[in-house]
Amino acid sequence: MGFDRYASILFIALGVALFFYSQTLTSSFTGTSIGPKELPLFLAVALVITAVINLVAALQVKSPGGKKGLDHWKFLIMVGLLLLYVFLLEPLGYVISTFLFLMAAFQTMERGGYLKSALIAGAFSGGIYLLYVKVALGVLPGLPFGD
Amino acid sequence: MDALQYLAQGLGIALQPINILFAFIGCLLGTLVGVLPGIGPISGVALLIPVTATMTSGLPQADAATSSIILLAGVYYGAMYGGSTTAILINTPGENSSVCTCLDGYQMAKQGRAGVALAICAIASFVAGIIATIGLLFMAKPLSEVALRFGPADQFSLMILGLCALSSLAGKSQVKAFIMTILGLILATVGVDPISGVARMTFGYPELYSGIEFLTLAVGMFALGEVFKTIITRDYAEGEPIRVGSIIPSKQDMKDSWASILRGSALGFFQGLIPGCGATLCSFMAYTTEKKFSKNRANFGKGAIQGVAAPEAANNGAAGGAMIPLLTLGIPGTGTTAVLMGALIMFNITPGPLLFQERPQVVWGLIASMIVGNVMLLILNLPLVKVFAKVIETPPKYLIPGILAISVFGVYAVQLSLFNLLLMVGSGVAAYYLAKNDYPIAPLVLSLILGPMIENNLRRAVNLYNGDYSRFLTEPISLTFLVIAVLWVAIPQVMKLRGRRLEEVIG
Repeated sequence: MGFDRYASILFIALGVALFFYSQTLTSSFTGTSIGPKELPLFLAVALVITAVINLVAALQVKSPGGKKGLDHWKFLIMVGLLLLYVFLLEPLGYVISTFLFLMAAFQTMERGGYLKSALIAGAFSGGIYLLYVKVALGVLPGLPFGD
Repeated sequence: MDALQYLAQGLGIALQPINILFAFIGCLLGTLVGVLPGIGPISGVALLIPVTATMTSGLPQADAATSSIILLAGVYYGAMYGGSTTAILINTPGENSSVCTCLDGYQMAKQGRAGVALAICAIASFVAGIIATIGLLFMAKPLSEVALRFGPADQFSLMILGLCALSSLAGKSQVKAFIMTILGLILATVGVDPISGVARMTFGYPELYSGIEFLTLAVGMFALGEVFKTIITRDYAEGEPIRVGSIIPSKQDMKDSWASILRGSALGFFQGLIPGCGATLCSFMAYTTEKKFSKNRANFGKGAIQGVAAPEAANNGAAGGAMIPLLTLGIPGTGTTAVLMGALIMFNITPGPLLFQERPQVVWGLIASMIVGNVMLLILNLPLVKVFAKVIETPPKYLIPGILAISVFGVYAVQLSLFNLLLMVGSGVAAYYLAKNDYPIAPLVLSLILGPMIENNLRRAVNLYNGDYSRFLTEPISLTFLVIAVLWVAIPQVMKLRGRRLEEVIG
């Protein structure tokens, strides 16, 4: 499978990088104990060995065709919206950023029903903020123009 | 008897009003998690960890840990109940361990016996839950006393056995499962080494000094990963649910199913004890066993009540059985118990043999609450089954973004860090692609949790034996665990090779 080949190569590269990185770590402070270097070193070798076995197995298998009917666009848009939400969470505050995220996400999943979407998004973001911050005295980013 | 005294102690804790409330919330949320597609028991438990941490933040630590784990365990076995609802009403399992329930449950529903099927599921789950709790009650303390005699080498080897067992059974490819295990162990080394103070793989980022947060990865990989899969594959529960009708089984129904319930419960419980044997595998084996030994084999797949009773009993029995290695040995045998273990560690409670000595109120409170929880689930599920059937109709348009928003809230509320939110999103995307290509996620999360303990025990053992590594093989308990680990990995490979050779000879 294509993914297996690329993933195995990535894991081999990761293992090799970890091996060389481990050499820069301090070894054990006493002669008999294990220091911070030994386990990462061992794991690097183990990762390279298992990734090579996986690569060999992957090269012997023919790649099947991609599955049809998969909605990658919706997935990419959702990931994009999530990342935007994360970056806007602190500047815009929890309520506004969550409301905007939910509105956009609802419309991405299925267009239409704007009023219902707005009501649900508002109830969710306002409700969680009130319950968590005002009742449970937790901490969430407040409104940008002050509480 | 000692066990009954401990149970009485535990009931005293479990029946406190706050713990009854938490058990109720856990069971209700767990049933909803089982009913709703797009979210399973692992992701449900992972999502609720930050929520319970927030809810219990005002309590003393031991009480907070007890109440939180009661809620989270309720979600675990509640999800086993709930998964059967969609399996029966719309032929879509609510979670993996309810796949077998679809085979006969949906057929029963088409014959106008949906209510009876749901009732039998509720009764089977209740009986299995009680049997598993009784097993836990009598086995837990003796097993933990045996485990107290383990030295650091034995502990190390036991954890290696746990990792090998889960890796061998976690997915279709052992090699891929081992890669994920090793990756989890590598991620566990990120951060400042607590013994030497050396920073490993932090690359100057202060957020990484305390290591990769288990909670962030658990929510990202399980909750977000599952949601992304639902979005991409459009795996929404579609179709009109069949009308439920009467939920009271007849005397004949009970007569036909009681033996299957008991067999399924026992099979599920003992299989659940074995690390790697999750509820899904147990329910399949119970169904297959029941079909094999049934006098009316031809009825299976056409609405046989035994085909519903046995797998449902097995999946709840397995959920209870899986708590034993977690609590007594500190070895979670399934993805969900690995997440539960992570939750306990967040509260500074380390599962294992010392748990019974140092934190008896946590462990006996949990065991007793499983009895309370199972009673609650039976009371909730029978009359409320029609309400839960309505919940199936929640549009994915609102459900999927809601789960994403709860994930962000949960992780931010505990970590207060954008870095962790980005890590959560990244791990969710990675988890989708990895799981899609048969790289199982549970071994990675389990090794992330066990990694620091493995390294700690390794260091202690090597120090104790003055650098003599051969002691791992000469200490009898350690040798036994390592031999079992090797056999656990090697036997499936040997059998595969023999199967291929046989094919070549025949072909």
